[in-house]
Amino acid sequence: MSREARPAPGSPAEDRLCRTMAAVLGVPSECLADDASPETISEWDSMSHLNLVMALESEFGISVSADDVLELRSVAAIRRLLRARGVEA
Amino acid sequence: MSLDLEQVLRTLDERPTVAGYAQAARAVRSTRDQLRPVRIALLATFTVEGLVPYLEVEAARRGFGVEVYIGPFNSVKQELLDPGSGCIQHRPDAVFILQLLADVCPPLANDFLALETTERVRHADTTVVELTASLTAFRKHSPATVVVGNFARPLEPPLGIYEASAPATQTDSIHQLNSRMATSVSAIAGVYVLDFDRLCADVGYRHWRDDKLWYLGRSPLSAQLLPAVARTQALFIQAIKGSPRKCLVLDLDDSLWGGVVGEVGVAGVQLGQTYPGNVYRDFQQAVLELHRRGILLAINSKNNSADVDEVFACHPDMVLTKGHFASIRINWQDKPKNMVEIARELNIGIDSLVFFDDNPVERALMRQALPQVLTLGVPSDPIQYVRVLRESGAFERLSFTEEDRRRGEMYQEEAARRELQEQSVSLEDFLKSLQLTVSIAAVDQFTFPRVLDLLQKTNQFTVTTRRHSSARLTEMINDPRCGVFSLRSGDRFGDNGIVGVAIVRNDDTAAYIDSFLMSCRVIGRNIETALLSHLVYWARRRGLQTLEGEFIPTAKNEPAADLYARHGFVQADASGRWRLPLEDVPFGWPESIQRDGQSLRRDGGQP
Repeated sequence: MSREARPAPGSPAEDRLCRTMAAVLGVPSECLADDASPETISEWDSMSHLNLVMALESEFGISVSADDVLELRSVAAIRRLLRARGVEA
Repeated sequence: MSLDLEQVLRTLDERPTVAGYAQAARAVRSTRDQLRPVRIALLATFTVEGLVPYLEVEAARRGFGVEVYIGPFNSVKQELLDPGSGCIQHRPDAVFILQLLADVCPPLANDFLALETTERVRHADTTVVELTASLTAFRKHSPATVVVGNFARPLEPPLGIYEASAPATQTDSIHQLNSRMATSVSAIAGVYVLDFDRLCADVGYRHWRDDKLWYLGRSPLSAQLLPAVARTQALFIQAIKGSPRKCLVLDLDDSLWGGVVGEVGVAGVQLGQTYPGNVYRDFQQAVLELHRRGILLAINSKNNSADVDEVFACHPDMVLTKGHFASIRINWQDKPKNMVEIARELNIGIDSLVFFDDNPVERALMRQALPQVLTLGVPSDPIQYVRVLRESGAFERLSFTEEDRRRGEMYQEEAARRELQEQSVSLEDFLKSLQLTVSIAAVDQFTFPRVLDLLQKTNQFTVTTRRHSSARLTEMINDPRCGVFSLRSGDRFGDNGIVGVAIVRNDDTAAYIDSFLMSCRVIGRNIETALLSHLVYWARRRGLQTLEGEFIPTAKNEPAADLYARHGFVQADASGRWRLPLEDVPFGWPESIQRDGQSLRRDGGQP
């Protein structure tokens, strides 16, 4: 976990990623702490996962590979991917 | 549309992202009770769930709340054939079928170069025949409109750069398959084709399919294609369920030409072969195209009439002539007032008008005074005018009849008729001098599209306003206890085309009028009496004792309210049923109307 300035897990995170995910999944962004995952959020099912990937691509202008799609199983994993692509969430 | 929903759609239009659509779809769901419900079934050979939020949003934009059923993965045929299938049980208004060639005809998609020419043809044939058979069977279980997507041409043609020169390529095969499929399925009542290939080309063959989602979840439609498919589906829904707009009402200065003619004079307006005049010229060309499709045109402009006349008469680059406009209001009174007058003159509802004006103040005023008018959001850049007009989808419809093609001319003839009426001393005098002819015939394949069109569109002179679907209409035509008639009329000024429809059904003693309607163009010429007298003849020939009808009042059908009373029907009870004993009919074929020989055709018969 990086220590750069970003909302602590569990706080009402209002960065771009949280807004995007909240919009796609239809959950309040407070639910989207770093440890949030398909296991903790019932709306995050396999269908909305694909939708989420499309949203990440269009929102952050990145391209996500099929293997990445399988890896992105938590908010933290998504943040790691964005950082690796040099994108500010 | 509620303000919330409007706000959501505006936000989405500013940033049409995946997340934006997901969010908008939820907003749509929460305002569903304000939308017109429409039941949709989606059948696809692939995972199509991702399309739903887009469809919800695009349908809501056109005032519809969709209730979607999604058929099980890759079971299009079963869903169509099995009367107990989820699709048929859902009782959809419309069924959308999307298929990938690789799913319905793998050899044509994957092994093309290995196939002999005859095998290619056989595979394509089988694909068309099987689909047609499934749809024909489906038609027996459901009156739903069916919209079938065609097949996308290959992203990577097997012959590479040689594909375009080579004979009998995969690209050719798919193209032929699409055209044969269109011919075959369109012959089934209520079945239409969605040009999936064109949508793919529109977003780009390289961009329509999302490979990773395809491989991970058999969900091939990309984030670019999804909204495009949904927008097209929403246009189909609007064309199937909505009342289409009939008339485009245009402003002049800075709309049909650049500049204000009253200030810059005829020679000063921007209209011609070079920028910016060529932009306005092309816009006029697009408007002319609508006119040729059967859309009425009108002018609503604050101007001096003489200035405008001079532009029409003298400007060499005007594409539109005054004759293209069915109604013209050039004056200084407020535009909503003109709008009401235009609707009255053309005898159409205010809700069938579309308003195009570059001036945001005029648009705001129109939206406020007449929300029923569709006021288009016109951008300040005239290069965008054509796009806005097309994308509005306001005039999309699923037919193009001979009447549509001639509509503009017909309204010009109508103006000549009005002039004659003004000169005539009495109504009888006028009717006599019109030299009306009427022919009534059983509906056949040639008149079917226009009859369906009239059933869908007629609001005013109609007793029941039953919007029969294409499938239902076919059913009634084939029912020996039903008479389905079209009425064609003409006079010394020209042919009016098919302007009346009557549907009647009988039991052992009585004939019941299911539908009876006339185009408002011909109201007041006793044509309805001719049509009723034909129904009397039909019922008598079957040995029936009474002719019965009902009047179902709507907000608009007042013109037909006294049809039965005027013709000696008596109200049987409080239910609104009217009855005419056939041994004592107080009217006959009107003297002012000549019968056309065509009436003798088939069961059309002649009294």
